[in-house]
Amino acid sequence: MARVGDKRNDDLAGSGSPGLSFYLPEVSRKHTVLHIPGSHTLYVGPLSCTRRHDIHARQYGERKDVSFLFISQADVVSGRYEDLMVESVGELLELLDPAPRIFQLAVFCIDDFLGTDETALLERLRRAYPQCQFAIDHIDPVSLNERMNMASNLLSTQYSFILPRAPHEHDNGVNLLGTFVPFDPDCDLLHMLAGWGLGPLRALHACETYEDYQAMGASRLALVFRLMNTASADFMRDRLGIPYIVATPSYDAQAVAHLYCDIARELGEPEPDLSAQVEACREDAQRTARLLDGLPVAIDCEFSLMVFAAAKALLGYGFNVRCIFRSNHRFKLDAQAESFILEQCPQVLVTRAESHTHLYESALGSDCLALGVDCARLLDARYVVDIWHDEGYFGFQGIHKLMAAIRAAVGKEG
Amino acid sequence: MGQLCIYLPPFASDYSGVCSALYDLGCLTIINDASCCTAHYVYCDEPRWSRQQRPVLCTTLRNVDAILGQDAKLVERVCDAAVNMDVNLIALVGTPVPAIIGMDTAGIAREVEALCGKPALGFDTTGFAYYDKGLVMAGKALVERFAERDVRVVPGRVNILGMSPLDFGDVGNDADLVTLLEGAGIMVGARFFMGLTLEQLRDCGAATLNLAVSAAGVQLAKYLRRRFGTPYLAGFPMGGAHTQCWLDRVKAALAGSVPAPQVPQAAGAPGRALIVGDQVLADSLRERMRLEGDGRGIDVASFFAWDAAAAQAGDAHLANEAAYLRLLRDGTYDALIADPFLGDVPAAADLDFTSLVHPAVSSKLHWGDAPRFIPS
Repeated sequence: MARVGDKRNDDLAGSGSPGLSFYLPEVSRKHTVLHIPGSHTLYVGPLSCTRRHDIHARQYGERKDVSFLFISQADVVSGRYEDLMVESVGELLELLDPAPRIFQLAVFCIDDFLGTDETALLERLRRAYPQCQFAIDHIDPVSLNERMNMASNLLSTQYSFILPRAPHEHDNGVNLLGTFVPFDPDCDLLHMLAGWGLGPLRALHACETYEDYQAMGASRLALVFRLMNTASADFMRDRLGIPYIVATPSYDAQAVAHLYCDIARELGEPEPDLSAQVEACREDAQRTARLLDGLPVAIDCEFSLMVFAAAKALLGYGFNVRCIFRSNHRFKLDAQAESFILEQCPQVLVTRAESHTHLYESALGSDCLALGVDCARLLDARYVVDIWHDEGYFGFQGIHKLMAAIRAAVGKEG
Repeated sequence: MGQLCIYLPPFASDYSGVCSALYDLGCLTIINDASCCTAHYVYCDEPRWSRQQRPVLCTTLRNVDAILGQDAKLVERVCDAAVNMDVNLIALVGTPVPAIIGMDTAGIAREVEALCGKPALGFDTTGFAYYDKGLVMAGKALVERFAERDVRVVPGRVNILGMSPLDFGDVGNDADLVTLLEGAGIMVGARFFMGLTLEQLRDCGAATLNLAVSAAGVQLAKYLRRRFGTPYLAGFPMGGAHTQCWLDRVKAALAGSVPAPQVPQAAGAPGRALIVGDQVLADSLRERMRLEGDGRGIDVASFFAWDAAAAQAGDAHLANEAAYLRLLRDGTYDALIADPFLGDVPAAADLDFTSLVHPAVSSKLHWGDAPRFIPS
C-alpha cells in the first residue's frame, strides 16, 4: 500500500472535514470569470462572505455586473432574508441600465442551515419580475463531500438559460464546456474537429453578447473538458438535444487517441489511425524521463484536475513520481487512477495539498521536479513547471508541450 | 433599503480583525469555516501574508461536523497541530456558520486549553460585523488573559493602541511611529497590534498614557482606562507641522497636563471637503489640513467604530452605502478624500477626489499604495 500522509489530520474516508488546512499566498495569475452576457449576479449573505467576490469582480473588470445584499443576524432570525432578495431585485431593475435579462442570486454556506424554500423563492421572483429569468447559485463549500461538487452546480446554472432550438436550426457548432482560455492554435483537437467539418467552436468565456450565448443552443455536439461540467452537459443533452463527449485532458497518449475515436464514432465518421501520434508522444515522454535520470517528481492538484491520472501516465513513461498533492475535495474524478496509485505504487506518497502538516514536515526533499507551483513552494523544489489546471495543455500536442516544459525546467533540452 | 450594495465593496469583517490582531503573537489561529473565510482573511485582509505567513489554519468545516457537533474531533486536531508547532497561544475564531448554529467557540477553546496545556482563546466572531469590532474584541481578550493587574506605572511610557494593517497597510507606519516616539525620548510599551508580544501585554498596565491611533484603538483605550486608569490620547501624526503638534500633545499629556488646542478652525474659505475613513485617521488628516492653512469646511465620515464625543458638527457615522450616497449627493461637498473604491461611485464623479487608501475597504487591489503618513 502507498503511504498516505498526515493520517491524523486527513479524514480520507468520511464526509466531514478533511482536516486543518493552510493556504499559501496567492500566485498572481489571470483568472477568467465566466459570465453570461446581459446577466447580473446578486450575492446574498453576511458581508464577510461577499468580500472576495467584489475584489475579484473589480480585478477582472466585472464589477458592474454584480451587487451585494448584506444580511444581518436579525434578518436570519426574523426570516426577512427572502423578502430582502425579492425587494433588492426590484431596486436593481430600477437602477441598472440596461436592465439585466438574467439574475443569478448567489447564496452562501449559511443558507444550508436556513431552510430556504428555493422553488417558492424562484416562483415569487418570476411572478414579480416576469421580464427576467432567475437562478440560485450555491457558494457553499460547507456542503462539499464526495457526492457534492459545488462547482458543478454553479456551472450548470450558467448554461441553464440557453433556449432549445428546432432540429433544423442546429448547425455544425461544438460547445466547449470547461474551458477558460482558447486552445493553442496548433492543438490537434482543433485540427481533428476541423477535419470532420465541425465548427464554429462555442465557449462561454468567449461569448460577448447575449446572442452569442444563445447560439450555444444551435450546436451539434458538446465536449466536456472538466468533469464538473457534466451537469451542464446533461442539461444540454436532455433539454437542448445536444449530445456530449467527456474530453478531459490526459497525458496518456493512448487515452488521447481513444478520445478522438469516441468523437469520430459519435459523428458517424471512421475512426482515425493515430498510432503514429501515440508512438511519437511515448518516445518524447520516455526520452524526457530518461533525461531526468531518476529525479523525484512531485505532482500537485493545481497542475492537473485529474492529478492521479496524470501521475499514472507519467509513471507509465518512466518518471520517478514520488509524491502526489491531492485536493481537499475528493470528488473521485479519477478514481480508477487513484486506486491504481494507492494499491500498486508503494513508492508514491499521497498527501493533502492544503494539510497544515507541510508547515512542519516535508513530504519530499527539495531536490525534485515539482509540477505545479504550490507543491513547489511547499517543497522548496529545485525545478518547477508552472501549469494550472491543465490550462493550455490538451491532446498529443499537450503531451509534447508538457515534456518540453519539463526539459526546459531542468535545463536539459537533449 | 439599506442593505443593498451596488457600488461599494463589502468591508473587512470581524474575524479578519481578530486574526490581524493576533498576527505577531506566535499564535496558532484556527478559523472555523469551510474555506472561504480563511481565504478572505489571508488573501483579502492580510497584507503581510505574502511576505510572512503565520500558522493560520482553516478547520475545513463541513455540514456533517456542524450538524453532529463533532467538537471532539476539532479539539483533537487543534491540539495535535499545537504540539507540532512552536506556538505561544491558540485562538479559535468564529465565522457565519458557527454563529448561525450557535457553536460554543469559547467552550471549545477551553477544551483545547485543558487538553494541550497552552493558553487558548475563543472568539465568537460572526462575519456579520466590521473588522474594527474584531480588533477590539481581540485586544480586550488579550489584556484580560495576559495583562498583570498589579503593575507599577512607568513614567514616560506609552502604549500604541489600534495600529493595524487594515487601517495603516503594511508600508511602515508602525515602525515610523515607534521611531518618532523613541526619537522624542518617549518609551514605547505595548504595540497593539503591530509588533505586539506577550511580554508587552503582561506589562501593558504600566503605561502612563495610551495612544489611540485608530477608532478601534479608542475603544480599546476606553477599556484600558476602566481597567488600569490609564488616560489616552486619540490621534496619529500625519506629517509636516502636524507631527510636531501631535508630539507636543503627547508630551503634555505625559506630563499630566491637558493639551491646549493648537489647530486653527475653519476660516470660511469657499468649498467643503469630506474625508471618509477611520475616524481617528480622518480627524488627524483634517487637523493637518487646517494646520497647513486649508480654510475650507472639512467634515469626517466613517462606516466603522465611531466616537460621538470626538465628532465635530457636520461629521457623520455612516450606516451603509445608501447613507454615503445621500451624503455625496446633497450638494454640500466639492472635494472627497477617501479610499479609491469610495471615490469610484457615480455620486462622486463631480467631486475633486484625493485617494486615502484604506485596506479594510479596497483590500489587495490598493494596499500597496497605503500612505506612509510620517515622512521617514
